[in-house]
Amino acid sequence: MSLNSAAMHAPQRFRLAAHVRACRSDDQVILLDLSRSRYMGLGGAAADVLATVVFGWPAATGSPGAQGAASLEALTQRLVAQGLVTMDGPDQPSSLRDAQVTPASSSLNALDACLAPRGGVRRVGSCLGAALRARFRLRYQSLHAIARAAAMRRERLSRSQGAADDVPRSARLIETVAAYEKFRPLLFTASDQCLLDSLALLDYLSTEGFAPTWVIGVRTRPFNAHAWLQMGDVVLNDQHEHVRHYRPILAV
Amino acid sequence: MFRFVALGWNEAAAEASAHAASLAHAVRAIPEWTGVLDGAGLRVWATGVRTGINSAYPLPPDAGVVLGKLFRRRDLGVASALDVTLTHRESEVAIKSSGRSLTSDFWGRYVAFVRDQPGSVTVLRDPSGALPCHWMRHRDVWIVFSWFEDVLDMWPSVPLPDIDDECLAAHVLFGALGGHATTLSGVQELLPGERLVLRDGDVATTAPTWRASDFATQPADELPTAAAVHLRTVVQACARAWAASYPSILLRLSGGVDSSILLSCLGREHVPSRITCLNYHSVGADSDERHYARQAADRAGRDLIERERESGLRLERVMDVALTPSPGTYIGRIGTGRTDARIAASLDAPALFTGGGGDQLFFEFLRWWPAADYLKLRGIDAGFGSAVLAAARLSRMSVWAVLRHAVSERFRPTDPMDQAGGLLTLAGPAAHAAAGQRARFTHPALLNLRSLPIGKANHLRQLVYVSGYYDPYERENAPELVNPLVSQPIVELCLSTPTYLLTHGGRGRGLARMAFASDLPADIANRKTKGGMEDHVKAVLMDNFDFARRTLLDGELVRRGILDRAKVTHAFSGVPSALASHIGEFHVYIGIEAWIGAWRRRRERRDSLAHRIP
Repeated sequence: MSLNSAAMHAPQRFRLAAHVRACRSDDQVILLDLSRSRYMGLGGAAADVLATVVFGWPAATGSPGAQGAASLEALTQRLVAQGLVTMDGPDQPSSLRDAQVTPASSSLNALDACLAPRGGVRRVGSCLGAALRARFRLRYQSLHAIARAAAMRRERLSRSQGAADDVPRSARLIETVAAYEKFRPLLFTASDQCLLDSLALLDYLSTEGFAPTWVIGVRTRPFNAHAWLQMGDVVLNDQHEHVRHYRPILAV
Repeated sequence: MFRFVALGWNEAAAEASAHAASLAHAVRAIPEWTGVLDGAGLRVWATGVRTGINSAYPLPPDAGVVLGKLFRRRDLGVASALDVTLTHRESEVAIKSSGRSLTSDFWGRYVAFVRDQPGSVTVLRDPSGALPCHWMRHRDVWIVFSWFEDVLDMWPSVPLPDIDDECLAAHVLFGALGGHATTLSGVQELLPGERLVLRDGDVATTAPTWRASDFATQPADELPTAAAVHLRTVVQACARAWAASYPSILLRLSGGVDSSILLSCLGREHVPSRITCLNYHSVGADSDERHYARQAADRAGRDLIERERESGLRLERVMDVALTPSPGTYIGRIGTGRTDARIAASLDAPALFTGGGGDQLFFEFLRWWPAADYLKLRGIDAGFGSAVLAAARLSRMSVWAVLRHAVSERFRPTDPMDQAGGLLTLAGPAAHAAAGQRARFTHPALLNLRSLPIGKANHLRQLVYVSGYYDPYERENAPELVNPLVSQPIVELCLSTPTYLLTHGGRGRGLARMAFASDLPADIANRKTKGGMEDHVKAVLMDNFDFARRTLLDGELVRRGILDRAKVTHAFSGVPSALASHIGEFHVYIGIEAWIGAWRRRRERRDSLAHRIP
């Protein structure tokens, strides 16, 4: 799935700010402000017609409804004032490049597949360190900073190792994730802490040479956001039937 | 459609006897109904009787009758002993015990009428509660019935009960009413495992014959492997007993753990009945489980029909609902009820089997409770650490959080009913006013759960509610619903199995998964998610948005203040933050409005009939 795709009906004078991600869910557009770690939703005709003036705005599935020029301008200016949208300019390379997300179609269920992962002080220490770093980042950094750091880490890993360790369902990946799942209960609660759990696992896997994709998705009616890790179409720390309810809005 | 009606009165009262005779005359005029008991002070009729499936078991001499399906407890697992004929001794014991021996010596799906002494009639509903049983009073005669529309059709002189506003409000606040009261004034429900004693024509008392708590308070602490074998044996025996009663069965195979367990018990070598599986799918994240259903059907060697749930469903259809004592819900039947009926008819399958109740029964609650239960039942012993770790895995909490909750629960137990509640998002002042009446609408078995460990208390809480036997939309066209997993022997076994055993290995339904591991495809045995219809249910609401808005905003629930008009207005405003409630809640309210509409139509029909007859 390609994020931030938009149909350009007319020359677009604005674009989504570099720290903003957007996706369409049901008939609403959800924005994620990574700098403020905040979500915002827009529905109705306004959500549709903004695609004609804002580059990166998710396109409407049908024809946009009528929206007066004055109200569209006012809405756009409000988004500019909130820092969610900027005036369009020369194409600035984003410091955060979004990954492609393959629709999830299976789940790793590592601890079911590997009942006795290797333990040891090093591994427990790795998990503990990853958990502490994830907690620190969530407390003191914005999602934007966290995502940028994760992207850079992934890039470093890819350069140093290539794609050899990014095979979903490799025995080593299963065993490594199983070890995390085995020790995680000693460290923190993962229930209702999907962001912490995903970042901790992401960090831990990077120490073991793996670079999965970190995904944040949203759903509406009712609104909810969720985070998980994927490698290819395999969900590492959740069930694929569950994450399929969510529309990816960020993938690192 | 198997149904019954019964009349009870004081045979020593001339006026009551005359009234009962007049009511009986109306039933005798309907050829589809057969008299199954004609005794002093008690008459019972049934329709839809089918030998071996739904029978009338007489308790001679004219001392009573048991309606439904009986299996003998001591024959559990004995393939040949499936069709029961009550012996003289068994009948005697049943009469002397006012029907109580039925719950200890038998199981199945039944309602029993017993004239144990002059002037007294006992009505007993089996612990599974599969067959509905309600009662009401008309002048000096008690009317006991399974399907309310029969009462209305047979006896136009019986006034249509009013809607009980307080009960209606409580229904919204608490979900389904748990006590005897229904949303129709004067119509009461006999709860599963209870007996109703009608004495001298004007006294009606209820008392439990079977208590779920009796089993929950007697934990059978076996080793996991032994417990798994025990569970498998009992589940197989019950499933096979039910299946052998029907020559042809339609089995709803979702591809989930429970329906797959049920199917695994019904292989051709054990059950000669023709069993056809039916799987529904629709567009959505969790709505297509065909992959799993195919694996389960292949493994069991049974045919599988795959059907898409009706798309483009118009909600106007759900307004045509039969009048039942309390509103039901159409969510489980959305897009499938009509297809179930059509396919069952084409296969000449009188029954629809499902794995319903399995989640609750086998304990699919991803909570820390099993650790607390262990601590309460066994204290801190060699196994406590493993119990905490397993509960941490089950609940995805840290071991420290689980330990903290378990210890806190041990020394300051919480009331499980504190977490009980119904739909609150759109509830209005009239609904909240019912909050003070909680005890009245709570199942008696749940009024004092503090002595139970918290996990077991919540387990019991989930098991006292039964699913509907009749389909109020398809009515007589619907196949008979059979949920073998909630058979009395299985329920008793699971109630007496500690929760830390039921969640063996730190998995929801862990013991059941272990018990049937060799019978299920690995993909299904290890499934952690269930399929659902969430996207389908949401799509139906969105496709019928205007209808839903009109129905609720112009409906009785808003008019009576049970739903808050402003909240409902906002919910349908189209603002992104609106419709924050769970989509299912809207469907429940629409179902209630449909029920109110059914009541109103009956009232109008009655009124127009009254005007025509001078």
